[in-house]
Amino acid sequence: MFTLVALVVIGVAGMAVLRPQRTEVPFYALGAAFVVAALFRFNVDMLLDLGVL
Amino acid sequence: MTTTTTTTAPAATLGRRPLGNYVMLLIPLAYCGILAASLAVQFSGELPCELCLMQRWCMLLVSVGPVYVVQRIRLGRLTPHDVSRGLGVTVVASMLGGLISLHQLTLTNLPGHHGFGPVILGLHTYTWALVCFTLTVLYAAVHLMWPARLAPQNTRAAGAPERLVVGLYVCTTLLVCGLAVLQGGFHLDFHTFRYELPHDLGLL
Repeated sequence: MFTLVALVVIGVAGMAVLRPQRTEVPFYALGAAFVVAALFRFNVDMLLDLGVL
Repeated sequence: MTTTTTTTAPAATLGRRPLGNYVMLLIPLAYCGILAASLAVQFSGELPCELCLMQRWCMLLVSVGPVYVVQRIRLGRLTPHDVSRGLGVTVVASMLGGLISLHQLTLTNLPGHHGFGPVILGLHTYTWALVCFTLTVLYAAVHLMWPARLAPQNTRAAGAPERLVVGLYVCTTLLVCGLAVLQGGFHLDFHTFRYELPHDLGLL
């Protein structure tokens, strides 16, 4: 799970550096922030306890 | 027929660049320095916990906005919309990072508890993170109050400092996220006592 989020952050940072001509990059960064927020709120252990994962 | 003219304050300049351009360079540079210090702690043998890791990701996402603005300046296609969007990402990521720092701070704010990790100038690293995130939000507020003075602008002077900061940001991102992948491995949960990926791949 943490590996996936790390890859998401790498992807967004890479897009900001390599594809600045794409004006939607900040929105992707916003999406990545929400992914981190989701990971913070719904911690993996909690999902395991709930049987979601 | 009447015509109306609007006057705006000229952008403050420092050398050949507007002041706002320097600030857009300073934010990623400062966070890269903080992340480099955290990596030094990690290389000394103290692996980050889940909350520390999420704060590091927030620092990288805080820097995405200014890095995007710097890259737009290098392209020569910066618009006020780009600056607003970049700062928006910075504010959201700062607030999220501050929330995580505050959560970690309240976890250790118990009688007789001395907190986690190293103490730097009397404060723990997560407390310093909270200070940095708060200062970033305050800067964004100041920027919104004086946009004409602080707005970054397209300039022909963009060159070596911009390349240096973007390069540093790329290296820091790859290191922080690469080490997170190394530590997380293919597990759903997260361990703070060893790097899991080599064990998952059967290398160790």
